[in-house]
Amino acid sequence: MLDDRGAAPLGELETRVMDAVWAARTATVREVCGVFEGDADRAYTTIMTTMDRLFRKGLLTRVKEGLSWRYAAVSTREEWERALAEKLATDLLREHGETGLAAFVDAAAGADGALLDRLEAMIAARRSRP
Amino acid sequence: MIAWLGLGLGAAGIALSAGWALSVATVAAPLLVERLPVRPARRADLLVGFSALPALLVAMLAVTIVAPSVLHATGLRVDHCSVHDHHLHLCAIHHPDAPPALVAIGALLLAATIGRAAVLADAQRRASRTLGDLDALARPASLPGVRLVPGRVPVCHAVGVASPRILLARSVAARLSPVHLEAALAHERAHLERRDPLILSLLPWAQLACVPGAGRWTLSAYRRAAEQSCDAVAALAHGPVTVAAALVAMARLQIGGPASGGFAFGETDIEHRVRRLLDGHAVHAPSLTIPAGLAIGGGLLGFAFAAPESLHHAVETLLHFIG
Repeated sequence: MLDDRGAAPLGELETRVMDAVWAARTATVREVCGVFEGDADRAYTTIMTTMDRLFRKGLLTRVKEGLSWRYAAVSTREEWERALAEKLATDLLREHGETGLAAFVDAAAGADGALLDRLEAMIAARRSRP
Repeated sequence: MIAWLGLGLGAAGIALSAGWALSVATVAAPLLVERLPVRPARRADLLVGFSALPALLVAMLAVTIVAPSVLHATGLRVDHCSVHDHHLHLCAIHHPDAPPALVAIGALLLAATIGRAAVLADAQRRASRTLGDLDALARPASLPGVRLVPGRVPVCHAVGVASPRILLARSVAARLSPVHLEAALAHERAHLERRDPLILSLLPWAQLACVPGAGRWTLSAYRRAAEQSCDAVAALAHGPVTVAAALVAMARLQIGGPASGGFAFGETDIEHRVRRLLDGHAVHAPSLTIPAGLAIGGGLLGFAFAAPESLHHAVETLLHFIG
C-alpha cells in the first residue's frame, strides 16, 4: 500500500528506474542497469543508490536474492499516479486555492447534504413550472 | 549616492503610506460594490479597480517624486525646485538631505513590502510547481482545452496564465451526467475567457501596496462576482436550471469525497448562486477588466511621466501642510 512518502513527484532518474521496474515487474540493480546500457551517466552505484532511495520512499519492496536484492513495485503505475494526483490536487486546493485557480464550485465550506437536498428541491420545483 | 538613497526611501515612505491610507479608507468598498445593481461582470471590473487603486497611487507618487531629479540629472529637463523655497523639497540634486523621519518610515515600509513580496513569490512558485507536477499526470481529453487528472479529488478548475486550460478529474467526468459536465466546462471556459487565472495571480501583487489583510475582502468579492458572471455565460448556452443543477451535482461530489479544500466562498455561496440562476438574475456581460485596466492605468502613469513637475510640486506642498 502506497503511503505519503511514496506519493511524491519523482526525479528524472527515479522515473526511469520505476518505468523499468514496472515494465519488468521485478528487477535487480544489474537488470535495471541493462535498461540504461549506453547511458554513460548511469553507473551501477548510481542505479543502486536510486533503487535504495525508492525502497526507503516506499515505492519499491525487495527480497534478498543471493548477494543482491530483487526489487518489485509496491503499486502499479496507475495506482501511484492516482495517489500522487490526489495528493497534489489536495495540496493545490488547500494551500494554494487563492493563487490563480478558478473553480466551478467550492462546496467545502458550509455546504452539507441537507442544503443540497433543499437546492435540488428548488430546482425540481422550477423545472415543473410551465 | 546618499542623496539618491534618501530620495528613494523618502519616495517609498510617502508612496507606500498613501497606498496604505487609501486601502484603509476603501476597505469597505467591496461591501458597497456587492450591493450595486449592476451585472456581476461589471462588479468584478469595479472590484479589480478598487484592488489596483492603492498600487496605482503608489506607482504614480513614486514616479512623481523621483522623476524631476532623474530628468535633471540626465539633462533631459531642468528642475526648477531651487526657484521656490517655501515648502519641503524632495530633490536629490538641490536638497540632498531628505527628512530623517521620512527616510526611516520609507525604509520600514519598503522592507515590509519586500518581505511580503518574497513570501508571495514563494507561494506562487510552489503553487506553480505543484500545478506543473499535477499537469504532468494529466492527459488530454477529447474535449478541447481540457486535461483529465487521475484520482478522486473533484478537480474542475480553470488554470494557467501562459497556457490557459481546464483540469478535470476523471472521477468528475465519470460521475457527472453529460449535460451537467458540459455546463461545468462552459463555466470554466468562461473563466478562461475572462482571464481569471491571470487576474487572480496579479491581484495579490497589487495588494502589496495595501495594509496587510486589507485586500482579502476585495479578493473574496471579486471571486464571487467572477463565479456569478461565469454562471451567466454557462446559462446562455445550457439554461440557468441546468447550470444550477450542475452546481449542486458537483457540490455533492465534493462533500462526498476527499475534501477539495481551497478557497471558501462563504456558507451560502452555492445557495446564492443557485437562487440567482433560478430567479433569472444571472445576466451576462463581457469583462472589461483588462482593456479598461490597461487604458486607465496606462493613462494615469503616462500622465505622471509626462507632467512630473506639477504633480511633484503638488506633493511637496501637500506634505508641507501635513507636516
